[in-house]
Amino acid sequence: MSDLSLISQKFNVTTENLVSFNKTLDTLRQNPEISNLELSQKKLLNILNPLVALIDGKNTNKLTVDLRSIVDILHQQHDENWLQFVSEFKQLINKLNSESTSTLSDNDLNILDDVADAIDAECAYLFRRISSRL
Amino acid sequence: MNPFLSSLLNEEIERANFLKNKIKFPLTYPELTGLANRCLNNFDSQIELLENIRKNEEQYTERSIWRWVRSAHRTIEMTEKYGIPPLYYQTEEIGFLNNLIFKICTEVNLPLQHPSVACLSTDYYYTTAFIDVIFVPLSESGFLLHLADLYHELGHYVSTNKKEDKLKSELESYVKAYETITEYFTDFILKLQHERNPEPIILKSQNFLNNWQKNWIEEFFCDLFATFLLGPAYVWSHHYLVAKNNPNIYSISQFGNQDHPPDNARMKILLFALDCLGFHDEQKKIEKEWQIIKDDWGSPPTDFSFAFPDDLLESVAKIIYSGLTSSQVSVYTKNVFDSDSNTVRKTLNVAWQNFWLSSPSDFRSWESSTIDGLKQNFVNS
Repeated sequence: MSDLSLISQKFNVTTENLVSFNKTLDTLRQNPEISNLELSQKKLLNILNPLVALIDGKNTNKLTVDLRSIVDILHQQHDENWLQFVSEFKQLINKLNSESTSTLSDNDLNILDDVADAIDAECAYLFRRISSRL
Repeated sequence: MNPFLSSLLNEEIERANFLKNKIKFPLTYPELTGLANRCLNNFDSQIELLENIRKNEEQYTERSIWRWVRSAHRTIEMTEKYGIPPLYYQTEEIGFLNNLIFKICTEVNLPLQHPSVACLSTDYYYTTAFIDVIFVPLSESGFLLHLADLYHELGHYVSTNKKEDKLKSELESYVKAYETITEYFTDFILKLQHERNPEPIILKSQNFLNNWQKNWIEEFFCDLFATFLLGPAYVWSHHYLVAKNNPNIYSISQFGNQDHPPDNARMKILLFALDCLGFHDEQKKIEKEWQIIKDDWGSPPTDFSFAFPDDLLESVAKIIYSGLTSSQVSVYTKNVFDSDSNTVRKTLNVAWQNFWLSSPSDFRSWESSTIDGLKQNFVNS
């Protein structure tokens, strides 16, 4: 009944998402050609689509990682070019959601790396909360 | 790979191997086998991952390797901190509590492998989700009145695993409760906006929704799970804990994160839960005792009724009750309680009946002999 149960649960689910996201990103870097049928692509979109919805101010109503924290971390990372980042991020999501085959650019992969780093930072934050009982 | 990152990666592999060697078979208590396997799996999976990166580093960017190494470090350290201690110190108390949780999970027909228990907590009860260990204070192995909190922690365990097929009904009720609170507060916020209420009031309501979604629905689910599986003993136990610790039972964070809902909201939903189970006499008794605590705190602030309206709490209780009654787990209705005998959950409820009927010294004698009886049962079974 201490807060640790809840925090460790969040750590667990965020770590699962990070592992899944990392694996997919490593695969995409090896083969940046994407089609809408790829299962791994769907896994990415499980996080990316609600993130975009949240950036647009919509209530995502999803039982998943703390997306607000992820958006906050991304915002901190891109404080100076936030609007440009959001615009490029949305273009990437459209590309991933699109039914046509296309290739991810270096910039697309960098954006995905930024999201992965943000999930990693959230895991690290929860890890510190558990370890030092913040 | 840069030499610093390479050394870091190497050290994590060595550390995981070192910790693996600290798990000695055969285990003193076979109930800890599941935990030993979970720890070994965690270490082995991280070793395999890091060795694969070392062999095929050209397939990864340095940025990706950093993320993998940090993630492996966290998993190894978490397993060391929360998985290894109960295996390394297999004390008599740890043996008893692991027998007990095994018995509880069997009794309530939990469709999952039982979690483990370690009485090494320095922070009351908590569950470490990634390794499935419930931590409790050392003295819990010698007392009955707070063991009800094991059922709340089982709620966290179920919630963590709710995507399992066997827990479909639990997941559906959780999602339905989540949607109900989301819909309620979304409508409420829209109404506030429509009525042109001041911005701070709207932000406060958005914060209530945020806390409900991120934290409170989970804690309410665990409270309800515990009450529906154990009955009044859990509600008494919660009352007792509040009486001992004297927290502000109405405390709500207006603009920040709050992990647990305030205790008055928790008690309200627990009383609705007792009503669902048919424990009407116990509900009245607890309500009467709770009123004494409420009187000390005076009237609730206005925010409290906005954040926790009675009809919303009642709806959530009914949704979870409906989900659990359609699932495999054994819900502890008044009828089941009346025909039950010699189970852990009956014992924990009888403990509370005796607590109120006996003198403190008589109760302690009964409690000690009951715990000895439980231990003897486990040895013989």
